[in-house]
Amino acid sequence: MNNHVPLLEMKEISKTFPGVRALDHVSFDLFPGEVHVLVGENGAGKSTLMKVLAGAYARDEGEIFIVGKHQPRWNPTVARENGVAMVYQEFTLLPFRSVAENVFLGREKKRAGLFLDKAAMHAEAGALLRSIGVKVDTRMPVLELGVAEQQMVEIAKALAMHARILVLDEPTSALSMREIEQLFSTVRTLKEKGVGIIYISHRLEELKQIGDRVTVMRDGQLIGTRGIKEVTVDDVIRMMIGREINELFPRNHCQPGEVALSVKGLKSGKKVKDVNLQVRFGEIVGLSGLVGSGRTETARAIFGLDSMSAEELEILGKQYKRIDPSKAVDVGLGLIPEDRRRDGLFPILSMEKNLVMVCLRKLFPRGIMRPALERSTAGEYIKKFDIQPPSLDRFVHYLSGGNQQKVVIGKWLAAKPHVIIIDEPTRGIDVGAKSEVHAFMDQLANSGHAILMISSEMPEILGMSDRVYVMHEGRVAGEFPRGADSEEILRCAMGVKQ
Amino acid sequence: MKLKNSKLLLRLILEKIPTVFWILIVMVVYFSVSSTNFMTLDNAINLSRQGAILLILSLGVVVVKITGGMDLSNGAVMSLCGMLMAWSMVNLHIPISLAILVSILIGILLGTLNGIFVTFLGIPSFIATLGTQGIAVGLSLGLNNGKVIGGLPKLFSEIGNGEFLNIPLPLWISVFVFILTTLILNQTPLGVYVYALGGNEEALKLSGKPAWFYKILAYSYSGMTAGIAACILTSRNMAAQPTVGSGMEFEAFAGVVLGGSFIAGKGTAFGAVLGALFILLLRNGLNILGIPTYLQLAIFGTVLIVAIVLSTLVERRVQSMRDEERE
Repeated sequence: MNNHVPLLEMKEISKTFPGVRALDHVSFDLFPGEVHVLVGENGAGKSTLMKVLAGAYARDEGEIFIVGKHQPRWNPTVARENGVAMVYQEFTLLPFRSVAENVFLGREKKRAGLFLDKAAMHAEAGALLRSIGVKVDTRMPVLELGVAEQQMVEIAKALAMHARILVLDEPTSALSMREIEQLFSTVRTLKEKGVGIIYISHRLEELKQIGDRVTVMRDGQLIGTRGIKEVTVDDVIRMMIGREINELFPRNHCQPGEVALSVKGLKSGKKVKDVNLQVRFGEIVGLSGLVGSGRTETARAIFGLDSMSAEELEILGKQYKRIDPSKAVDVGLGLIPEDRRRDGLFPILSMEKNLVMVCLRKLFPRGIMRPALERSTAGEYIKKFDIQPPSLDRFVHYLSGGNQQKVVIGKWLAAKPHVIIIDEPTRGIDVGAKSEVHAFMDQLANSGHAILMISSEMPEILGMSDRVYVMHEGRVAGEFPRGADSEEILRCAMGVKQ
Repeated sequence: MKLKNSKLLLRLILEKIPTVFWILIVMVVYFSVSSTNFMTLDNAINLSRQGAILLILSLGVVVVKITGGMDLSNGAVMSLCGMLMAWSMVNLHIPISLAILVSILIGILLGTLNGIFVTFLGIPSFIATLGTQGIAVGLSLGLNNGKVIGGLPKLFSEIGNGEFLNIPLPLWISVFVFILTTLILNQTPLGVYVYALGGNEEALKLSGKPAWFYKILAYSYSGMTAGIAACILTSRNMAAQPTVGSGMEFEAFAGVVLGGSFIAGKGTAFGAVLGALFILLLRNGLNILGIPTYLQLAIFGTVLIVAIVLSTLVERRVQSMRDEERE
């Protein structure tokens, strides 16, 4: 079937964001009736490539061909006209409106040029859905449907736009086994119709079931494209990891003490289903897993930010039934959040105010502020962390990312916590600041703190952790000692059975 | 199985019929029993003349509310429309039909201005329409030094006081606006886009439609209803008073929320009418019972809050019933 002209060819596409080369001369093609699987770790550049395809991002370099025709102008409208359609992880449906209205949104059937031809819309939407093997009442509001059915509505919507290049972004992440079967049979029907499908997935076991070819990306680069029959899942994982750990990490010894934090059977919301973990004093424990596996949610639950329940929650040797953030701080827990601009800082307050924010109650137990003490406390942490420039009155908004991260860490340390949960400690900061942050973490652990570190960066997990827990779909799926194989960890995170 | 069906039926009833409908029934029964003057033809006719103004305003507000915005300007815009139409009839001696057109066009203009503030300048609708309210109040006070404009042509009083087939004209006009709004919301692509703006604006943009344009139209529509309401109001009083509409925007908004438009993407013209009727009947009923004004205000506020709380509770119950069905 691959002897036609490719439906889509993207040649040598490059895209640079300030400070990051998101795509580095990546080429990608797609044939009619083919399922081309696109895989890569978090941040490998898959989404950026797809956004270039949808016209949402303008490419810096490279060319796009549709059925052999060069496309000099490429934007969302041209992309749509050429039959590119995306089915996003977050659906773009109107929850209260009918299936038919959603399928034809923006392309309504009209009578007398003005009024909706509802009968025709229902009939055609129904026919479209039946053609991909789905039976739903097109009059139902979308929110009455299950997740899989909503996804089918999204696909039908794409087909109503005459999609020939269909991008499915992690389509199975929210589906049950039976629903996945339904999706796959739809995908097969689409293949027979000659639609080309780009299939992004973290579930490598699906690769063999549905894919024809697979392309692996890593760090914004194309690692390779292979026929599905030529590779094994292990090959793909090796291609995804591929790098050597060339960064130096300070962590070299660890003397674990008593158990500082112990959680059993933790549940919270939809993303945390059953988490068991333990962190000892003097230990850095890594928490690895894919985006969406429930790591951040686990941290939020332990800190009492979201409602949670647990069979056991033990902090510093004491049992707790319930916890809220204020109690957590009092007990000696600190949470350094992932998105520091949003959750960690008050951007238009001074560095001084930011640094004392968490420890106010400890610093001034009577509720009356003493400016001198406030300044000296803040000054102490600025010196300790070498925050540049060291001016107390500066708004943190104007600091560099690395220095902002130091302020966030500093403000938590000022509250003198014993157990520190740190979510993506070095995301988005430069290499120099990175190694400084790593050095602080090492010192903290050596001085007897218990640290739970969430990270998506494999080198960081391997280099900094004394032990690693791996999460998969809301559960701790495995525990690894220091020096474990990165492929093993990734396999566990993807839910591939050994 | 049978139990499951009756539960589903209950859920659908609670979901499809706004809670305010049931509250309305209870209220009507209570007032009818309490006073013999409530359930009379005279009262109904009186109410339909007075109430048409709030009804029509609500039908504009609901469109804006569905897109996820609010319109705090339409009371003041209505005042300004009235002032301008009266001023131009008295001073420029323009015919009545042209004066009506002036009122409606001014309404559309100010509504469009709201829309432009919200879309192009990115101002939250709450503040943008508050600003327009200020502009409109200022202009209508300035137009005649804060004084009432009277001495309108005799025939003009027909709009607010006339009848057709024994039914007051204001009622005909509100029925017309109701049908128009229902048609637009339910039977045209425009309506779909209005709901899309509130439900998932991104989806509308992704389907290649100019979302900003439809959003402006929604605000223009609300302005238009203010212009229509101004005609009835000015005609009924046979005078234009610069602050006559102040406070109406809140009544209209409260009515629309009660009528089921709790969150963006939800709401119907029918619900807006029910909500407006609730507010009108509550006012009217308390009046007929002869309750002192200060108490009336306090009771009005309390009942309004109770009604909203009740509706929200039902809304949440429906939500959890739906979740249960899924399991």
